[in-house]
Amino acid sequence: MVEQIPNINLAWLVPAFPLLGFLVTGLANRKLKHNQAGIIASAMVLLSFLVSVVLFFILRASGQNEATVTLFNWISISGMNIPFALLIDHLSLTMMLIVTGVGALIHIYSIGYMHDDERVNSFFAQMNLFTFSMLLLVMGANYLVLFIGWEGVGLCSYLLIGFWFKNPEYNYAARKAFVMNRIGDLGFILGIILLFFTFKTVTFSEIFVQASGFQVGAPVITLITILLLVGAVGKSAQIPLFTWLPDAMAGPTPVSALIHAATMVTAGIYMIARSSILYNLAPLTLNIIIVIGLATAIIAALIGLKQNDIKKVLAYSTVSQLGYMFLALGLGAYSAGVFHVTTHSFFKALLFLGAGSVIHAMGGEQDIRKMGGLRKKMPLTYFTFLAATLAISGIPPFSGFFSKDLILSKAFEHSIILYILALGGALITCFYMFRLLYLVFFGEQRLAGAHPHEAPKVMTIPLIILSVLSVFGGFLNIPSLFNGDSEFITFLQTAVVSKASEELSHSTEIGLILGSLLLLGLVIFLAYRTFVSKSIIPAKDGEPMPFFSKLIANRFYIDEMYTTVFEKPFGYLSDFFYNKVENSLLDPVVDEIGFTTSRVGTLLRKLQQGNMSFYLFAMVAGILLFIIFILIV
Amino acid sequence: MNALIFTTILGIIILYLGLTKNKTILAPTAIAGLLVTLFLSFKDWGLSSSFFHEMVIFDNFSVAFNISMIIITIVIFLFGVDYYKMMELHVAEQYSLMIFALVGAFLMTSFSNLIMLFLGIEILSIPLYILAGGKKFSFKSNEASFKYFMLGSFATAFFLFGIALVYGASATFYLPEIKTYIAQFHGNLPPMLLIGLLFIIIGVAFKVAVAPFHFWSPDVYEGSPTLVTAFMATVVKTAGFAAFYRLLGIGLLPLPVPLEKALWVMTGLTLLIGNLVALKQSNFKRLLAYSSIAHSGFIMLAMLSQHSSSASVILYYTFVYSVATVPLFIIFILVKRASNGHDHIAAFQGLYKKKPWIAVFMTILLMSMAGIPPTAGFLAKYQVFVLSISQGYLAISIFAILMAIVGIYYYFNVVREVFTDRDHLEPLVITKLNAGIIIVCGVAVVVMGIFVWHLPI
Repeated sequence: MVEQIPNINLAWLVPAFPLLGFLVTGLANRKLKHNQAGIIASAMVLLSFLVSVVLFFILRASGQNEATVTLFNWISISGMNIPFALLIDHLSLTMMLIVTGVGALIHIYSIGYMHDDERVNSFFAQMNLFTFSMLLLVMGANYLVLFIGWEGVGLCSYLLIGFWFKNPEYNYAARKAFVMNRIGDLGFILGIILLFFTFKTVTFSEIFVQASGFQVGAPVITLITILLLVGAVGKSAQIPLFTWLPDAMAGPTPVSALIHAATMVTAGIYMIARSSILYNLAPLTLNIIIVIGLATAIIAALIGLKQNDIKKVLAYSTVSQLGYMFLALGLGAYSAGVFHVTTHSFFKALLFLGAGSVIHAMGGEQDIRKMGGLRKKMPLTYFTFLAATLAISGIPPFSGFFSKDLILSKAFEHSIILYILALGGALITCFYMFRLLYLVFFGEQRLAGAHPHEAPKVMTIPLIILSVLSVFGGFLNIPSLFNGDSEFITFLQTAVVSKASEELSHSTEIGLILGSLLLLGLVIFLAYRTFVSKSIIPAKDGEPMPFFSKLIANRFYIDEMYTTVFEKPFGYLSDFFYNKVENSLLDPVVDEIGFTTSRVGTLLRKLQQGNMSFYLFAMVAGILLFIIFILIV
Repeated sequence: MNALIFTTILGIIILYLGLTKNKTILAPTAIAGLLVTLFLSFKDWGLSSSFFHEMVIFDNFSVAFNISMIIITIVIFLFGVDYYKMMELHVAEQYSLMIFALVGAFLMTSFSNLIMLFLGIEILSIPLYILAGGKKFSFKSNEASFKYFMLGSFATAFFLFGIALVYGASATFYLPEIKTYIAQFHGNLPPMLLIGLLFIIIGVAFKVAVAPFHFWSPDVYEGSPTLVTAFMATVVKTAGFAAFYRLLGIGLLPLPVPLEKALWVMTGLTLLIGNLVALKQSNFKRLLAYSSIAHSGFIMLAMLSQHSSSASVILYYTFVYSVATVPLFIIFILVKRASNGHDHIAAFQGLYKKKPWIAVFMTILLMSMAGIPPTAGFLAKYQVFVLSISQGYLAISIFAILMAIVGIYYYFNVVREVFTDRDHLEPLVITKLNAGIIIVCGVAVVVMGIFVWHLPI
């Protein structure tokens, strides 16, 4: 029995604050005045962040690696006992700090960004609910609590993507996100059921202890991990379920930041990292993850090359970066994946909030072909955006360098081909990010009549904090090459069981880094020449372009493919079931059941005539029948 | 025992208070007295004291049921303040008769001897025969009283005959001794004993309106003054099932196979008739009468699924059912008053427009009756089904669940009326006290639906 850590029970406060915020801002929706909802909501997330920090130190002081806080006994039926419990360990603490820390900054930023929206109170209520769900997801001590958070996140993303529901296209995007996620969720819930069926429990610690009794490659474990993977693929927008994420740009920009950086898409990564013990037993699944991750990283990066909507570029970059995280997971380097989640959450939040600042300044314009020259008008946004771009491109010493380099070196250990492909994707990333930067901030302003201006302080301060994190976040895990001791990875090691791998020799590593730096420099120069020196502006929509460009610009026609392969046949099937099966078969049958029941009622009612002698007769008859009944039975 | 004696004295005091011609002191005195009874009952918890050569035993089972019935009676009396305002004569008799009935109910929850059961049933029934005829100049009320009395006497006759037969066979009135006596036959009972037991069961089944001995209940429920109907549907029903469980669950179960089969047939019939006939009722009191029959079926199911938790499940079920039923009758009385004595469910039309909050609470109460989460009615039914399925009675459980689904239809017929608009709205007066009763009961139904309780009885 592990000794109870004093004060660890504070953990319930972490999800409780955003829930309280949701209830207050949600219920007092109409009563709250200007900015009040935003301030309450931000304060709640900030409080959770503070509690998370306190928990971090409590756990550290205790010298233990994990603690379970049981809130109440949730489901207790014979043979099934599921407590509503929270698990505080290094993995969940990392995620809690990201969710609440980055989440709080996004909330504060939203006060400024959503200032003029008439439904601002509902917005903050939903943001708080989103944060609450995500916290439940990362803090749950068993798969069922995780699943509540999982579903809650799905619901909130639906609500927030379709926040401006008066636009039918946005509604469509929200629905698409929801449906795509549901496909994943189905796999996930089947996985949980199979887990319960196999282990008779859904609590992490119990499952992982029992899992050691299984052999590597046991079919049931492989099936479980694949089913869980389907859930992760849906939530973390991987091939083939990634098309919802770019469309999810329909929501207000802070929502995109929240979905892409702090919550939602990292859920799949978290879940797989959490189940690392199971995945280590399923090499087949890990290989599938490598393929999915790498393919997603490269395809999404390619698509990113030709996007002209500032948020779409960022969206595809998220999909691509998530691909890298999956790659890390597939390589068994779960901690590296989580490390990339962390740095990514800093610079991606920064990119989105910066993009929001730009959109805000341009009066709602999102087309990068119409921007340009914002460097001088919005210097602060420019510098923070530059920091994030350098970080995502993997330029040292920015945070992205450390996490991406870690993944690349793991890929190199595995096979050289993986490394080359992954590096290729990174170079493309670098190119389209600088393309974005140059088109937006360099050259001349191309949109007439716009008067860009720097955003208010409430928006710029989160940008500054995030840019500091983007620049220095990588120092959390300084590899041995630079005389560090990989603190972050070691920290996670107690919660996540990464596969052992041979360390690369320092000389190889230096060679790889120098090589990739050279290539990155080349790419940046190339982008500079194309978009600044020659000031080439991407072609207008509808202009003819070479076949391959067209393919990329149209996102490989994946959306269209899904429409033809799934949507239309399902439409026909649905029509068939509605017209033939439902209307002419099921409906009449169901109606008939109702009518029959009703007719029997009428019949029985006739017995009750109000005539007392009949009642006496019926009673005596009943008694006689029962006498006969008991005597002959 | 103190509670029983005190309640008897309370009834006599109330009766004599009637001589003062001061109606306003009756309800407060009665309620204060019942609160004392409640306190005395609480003190008996855990003592398990027996009296008169163990003819009555006040164990936790009887104390728990007594407390639940006292609480419901207090709620009914609280409404009585308003209900008996119009009535000029014999108000004291109304209260004291109900208190006397309660004394009978106490005896029914604590007997260990068939004679005590008989006494309890009669002490409960005779005041009810009078109460049913409470509206002296109403034809329907008189009819109800007469029918109840005739059919009740008939059932009592069979019940007594049954006791005589059992005594003839076993030479004892004590339940434990009868149980040992039955056990020695290993299932092959002599016909005299078998029929005697059947008659006893039928006598009690009549009291709780189990089909096919339910015919009296819709007519009596409809004709009686509505407050008396509420009393019958809740306190009397609770007492009846407490007695039934004491007789079977604590006393005689496991019964010989033929008798148990007969009981299952009764359960099935009760579920079927109660729910299906309720579909066709447009009179609210008759609707609740059939719904009460239907609920009897579910409680029978819990009782026959012999398990140590059956008693607690039955207590939860009857209490939750009573807490929802009393305010429904109260709302009905108020609505009926506002619409010139209209007792069709259409009388509820326009309620939402007139008193939206009352309409919302009425919906919650009806949801509880239908067994829809998050109300306590759902958990009550859920526990019954869990119990019966865990004991292996799968077929009848499925049947009962189907019947519970049918039930949703007729309860929501009423909900539909509540939310239907009506052109001319009569003013509906609801005093603060009455609104308070309705709201407290509605909240209680939801709270009990979230925090389910079990008692070790």
